[in-house]
Amino acid sequence: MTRRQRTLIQIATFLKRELPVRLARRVIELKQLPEGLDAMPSVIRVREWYEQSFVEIRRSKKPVDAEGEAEFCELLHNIYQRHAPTLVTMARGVHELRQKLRAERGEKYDLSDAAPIHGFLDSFYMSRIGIRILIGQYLELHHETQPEGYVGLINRSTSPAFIAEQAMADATYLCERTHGDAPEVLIEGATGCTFTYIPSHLYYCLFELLKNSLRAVCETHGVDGEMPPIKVVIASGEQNEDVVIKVSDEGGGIPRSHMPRIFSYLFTTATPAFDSGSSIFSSAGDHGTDSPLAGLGYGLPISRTYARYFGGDLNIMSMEGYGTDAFLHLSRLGNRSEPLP
Amino acid sequence: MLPGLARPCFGAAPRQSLRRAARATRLLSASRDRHLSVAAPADLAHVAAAATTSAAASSSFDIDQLARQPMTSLSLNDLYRVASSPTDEQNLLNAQFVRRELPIRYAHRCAQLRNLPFGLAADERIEHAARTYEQQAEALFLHPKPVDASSKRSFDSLLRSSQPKLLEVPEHIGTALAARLHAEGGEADADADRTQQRVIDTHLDEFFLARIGQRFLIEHYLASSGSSGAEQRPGFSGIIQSRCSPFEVVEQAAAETFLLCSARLGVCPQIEVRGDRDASFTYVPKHIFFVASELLKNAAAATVDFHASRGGGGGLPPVRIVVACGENEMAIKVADEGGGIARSRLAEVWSYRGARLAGGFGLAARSDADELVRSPEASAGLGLPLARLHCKFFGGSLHLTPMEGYGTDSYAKLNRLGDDNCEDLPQAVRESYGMEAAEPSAAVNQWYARRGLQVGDLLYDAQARRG
Repeated sequence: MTRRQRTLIQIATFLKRELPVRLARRVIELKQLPEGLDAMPSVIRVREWYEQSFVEIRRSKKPVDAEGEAEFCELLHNIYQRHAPTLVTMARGVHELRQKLRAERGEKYDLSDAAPIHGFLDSFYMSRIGIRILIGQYLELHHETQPEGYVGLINRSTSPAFIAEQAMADATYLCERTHGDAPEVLIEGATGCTFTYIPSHLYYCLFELLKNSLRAVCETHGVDGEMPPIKVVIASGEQNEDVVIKVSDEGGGIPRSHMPRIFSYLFTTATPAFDSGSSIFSSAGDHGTDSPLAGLGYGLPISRTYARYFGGDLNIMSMEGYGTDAFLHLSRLGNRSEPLP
Repeated sequence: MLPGLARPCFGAAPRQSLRRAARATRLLSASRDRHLSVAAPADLAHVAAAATTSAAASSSFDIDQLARQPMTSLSLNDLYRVASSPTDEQNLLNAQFVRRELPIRYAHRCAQLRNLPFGLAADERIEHAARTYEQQAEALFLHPKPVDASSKRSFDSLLRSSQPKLLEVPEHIGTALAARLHAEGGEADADADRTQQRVIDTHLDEFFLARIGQRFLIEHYLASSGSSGAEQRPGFSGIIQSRCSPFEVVEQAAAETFLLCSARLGVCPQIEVRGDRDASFTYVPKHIFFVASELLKNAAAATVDFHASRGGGGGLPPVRIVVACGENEMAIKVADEGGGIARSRLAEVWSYRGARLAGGFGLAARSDADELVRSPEASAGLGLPLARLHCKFFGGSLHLTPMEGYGTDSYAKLNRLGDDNCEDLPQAVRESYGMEAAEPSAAVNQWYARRGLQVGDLLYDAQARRG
């Protein structure tokens, strides 16, 4: 048996012990949600996924050899796919609750005032990130050859500038499609810096921030007018604790009354896409540009959860009437443990 | 029942329990209570008269007795109204109120200083500052009541001449704080030190907040009294300006900082100010000037030092300021490329640690940069916490976002004070520190209570020293 095979078996054994614990906690949480959220059909569906995954892992054969390990890997792959639409399904559950409470308590009822729900969703999504990192990392490690610099999901030479350029390209494309044109995005600062991180997380955060900035500038200045560029500044030094990425725009800022709510999962003025009857669950998970999550306002809170997962943070400083600066702090020391409850 | 009793009051109020008691008494027996929230300028005379009669009974100066009396709060509306083109009679009433009120406030400051924990109260510099307040209180208390133009003139000049000494107070406190930290040396337990620092911060927050209110009252009164013969500036009521352009104030601050920095450090980065010159608000220009100056001095000093330490070739990157005016607030952003600080050290920046915050803003040893900071507050190492208090005073905020290895962005958010007559105060201002007493007293009391201590237990031998 090769060393690699032995490592994989070790990881598989660890996961077989650890995952059921995490899944079980989610199941228990999902049974005791405030305001009757746990009775919503979509939330029940999510809970059933977690229950089923729990049972399957518990009943699986302990992976002691290459064959057992391969079977376990296949099982986890299926579980990973099964849970991919969790975000959008939970969002749907919250929406169902909102409808129900509006019917009971009047049209004006604002779900975003319900702090316990928000707290629950925050910790739920945080734990979900953890579970998906564990599983995702294991699945990636299964590939015979890892891309340059990668160990599973982790890239030891993640370049913020490179990822920013990718995010910029995609966000700009989206903006041009919607508004016809897009402002320029300038990337400055420590563009040569690299550090150890999970590129897909960084990509998601930057994509969301750039999307918001581009849209704000287009709407404030108009695509025909002169659109001031968006600046992305990357800050990093040799001895730094953090890599900080600032995305700053002159898109008019966020009205003060909205500020407490920009990180809320519950605040939305949009009618979610899934309300129109479509029940597409994209296999790309919840983060594709065409996902039914689009327009739900989940981008900022989820980005912040990603950033906080490894000890970083996301700060939004807005100047009403001028523009917004977003600061993404990413801890580069690699010595912060997961924030488990 | 006097109208408007439930309104928020301007100026730091005394300890929460005293205030509640005062409010209860107010509601029960308006006529006999002299600690009223004044509803109209004429009532100032009533308060002054009632107070003077009772004070006349004990016409000897007793600092402790004064400290036990509650302060009278004034609302921002009243301050604006009594200072806006006042008649001679109104001027006299204002003078009488100030003569009655200031000694009480000074007595409170003195008591607060003498109650600082962890040996600070025993420090001779703190005692010096406390004695300054005591002397000022006595001088004002013993000055005859201003009843005509000449007695009022002499009162005003007494008040004016006392200001320079009081301006030195932050410096004394800052030096005492720094001395305490050095005395601790390296043996101090980090956790205990943090806890102690937090308690000190709470005490000093309360002290300085009250001091801002007190200085506001004094400067507002002096500016409106016109006793020096100079006409009050148009568009001003005391020190509140009804059409204050933050852009212009920031520009002035930038010009002054540029000169100061160039003179002290030999070089200064360009300071670029962007924004709408014509946007104006009702606000206190002095406060904006102070906050902007503190932020700019730090930004300029950090830029110079950071680039010197990196070889210094090429020009200095500019300090960029944006002044933005929104519907509810105005914001001033100061962005520098001065190297920033680590995020884990950000909390220290707001702490009252006294002069020489080692490693602040990425500077290893602040040498020439120390020369730059000339204001009493900044040279005491207290510039940033005080700037933040000034912002918080009317319900605003001050945030620093450092980008380690690059620079720092500071955001000062200030609330609009309602329309031109300060009549319509927005909610954030009404609920701000400047309007309501914050909870520091309760927090401090809780801290002590949880440890089974009384507030006085940590005074060491300060009481004995005072004799």
